[in-house]
Amino acid sequence: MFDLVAHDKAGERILLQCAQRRSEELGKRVRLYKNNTDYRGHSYGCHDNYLMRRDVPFEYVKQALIPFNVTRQLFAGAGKVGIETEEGLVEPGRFQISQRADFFAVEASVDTMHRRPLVNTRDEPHADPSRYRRLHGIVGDANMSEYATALKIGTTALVLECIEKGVVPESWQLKDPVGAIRAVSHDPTLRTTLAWADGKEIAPLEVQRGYLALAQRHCDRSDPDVEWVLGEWELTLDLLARDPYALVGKVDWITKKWLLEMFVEEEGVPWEDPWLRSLDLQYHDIDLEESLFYALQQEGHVTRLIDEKAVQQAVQSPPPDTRAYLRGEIVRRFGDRLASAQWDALTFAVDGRRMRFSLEDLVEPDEVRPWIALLKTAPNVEQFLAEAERY
Amino acid sequence: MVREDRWIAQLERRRVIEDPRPGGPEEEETGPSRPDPERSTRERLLRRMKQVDRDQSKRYRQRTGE
Repeated sequence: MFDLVAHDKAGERILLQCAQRRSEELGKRVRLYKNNTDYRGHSYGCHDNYLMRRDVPFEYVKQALIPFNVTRQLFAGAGKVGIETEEGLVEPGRFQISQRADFFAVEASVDTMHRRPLVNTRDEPHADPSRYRRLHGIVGDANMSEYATALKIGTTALVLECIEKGVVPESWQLKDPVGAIRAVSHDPTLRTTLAWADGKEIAPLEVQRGYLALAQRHCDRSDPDVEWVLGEWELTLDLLARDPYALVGKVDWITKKWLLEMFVEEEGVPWEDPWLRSLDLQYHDIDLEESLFYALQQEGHVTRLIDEKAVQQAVQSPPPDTRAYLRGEIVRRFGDRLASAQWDALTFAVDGRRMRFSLEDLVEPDEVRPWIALLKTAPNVEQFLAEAERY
Repeated sequence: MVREDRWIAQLERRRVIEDPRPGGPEEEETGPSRPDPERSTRERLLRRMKQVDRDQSKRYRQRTGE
């Protein structure tokens, strides 16, 4: 889980370097924001993708996931000044939980840019498609907080494990999921209630507590990452109910709201003033010297899960038990003998022949490690390929 | 799909609307514990916020798809 956070942050640092180089070329400042809206009715996603078992019926995946996706923003929302439609701002002075919630129109579809779905049906697994599907999540906000990123991805992974095990009750269906994601987002006081399809009412926090209870009961708790996610998920839901401001520095929307409230109190600026949206935007600047989020981090008010050394390492290298690591190492050692490199295969040009090395089945760390060991001992590409052919 | 009816029934009974007020009803008089940074921290954060160009959000717009 912390590897994932490190690589998310590594992405920021790589893009920051790109922005800085471009600034030098242009002679003017290029800024990059890790956010999801331009306050003019345009939204762009922070997609999270998961490998899932193919044999789980997609209709069940969709139904079981929607109430979770609708309410995950309680801890994964990045916060936004203003309420939008695709036509633009409609209530510029209202603070809401999610950057993205205003832009969903249907429960499921393949679209990502118009009439966006709560569950996206794009299914391009980077693995054997007869065994796996890719769940392409487009419902999330881009988080600045490492803690929020870890909780967002970790909880989703556990919910998907529950879905794969078939333990999410089929009765968990919201009456109006598309309206519900907006209703949750538009109510930072957390007083709103949602309606199940059977008419019963439920608080969004209770929806999350239901999923938490399923995960506590059914997920494999031998993995320390799972224990971490379960513990922090429970703690976060409790704090959201009892004392949300205790989550400043962990949950982005609460952190941003706290910062902006401080500013409004000090300056007497109304919430609909464009300055507030400019501050909202500046929270998401990826420049460590310019961003309001990083200003708060430098003051020691942000919970960190990793240190900068881990981020810089992630800029250079994938996690060491992954297919990406193996591919990277092969490129590093034998790059001059490669004809092409794709996610599913590397093609070598050796002695006038093209030789394809498949990566398709290298999904689990245990499947990757033997190849990494082989690569380390192979003195040259010919030897590596000869050994590979014997497998 | 596997249904664990008894356990699910317990969960269903939990589907009550708890008072979601930040701080809960008991803490309403004193309010939630909004963090109060040290004065110097608060001043530095406010200075950083005041330096933000108040019109930058007006100039910002998405130019490409996702």
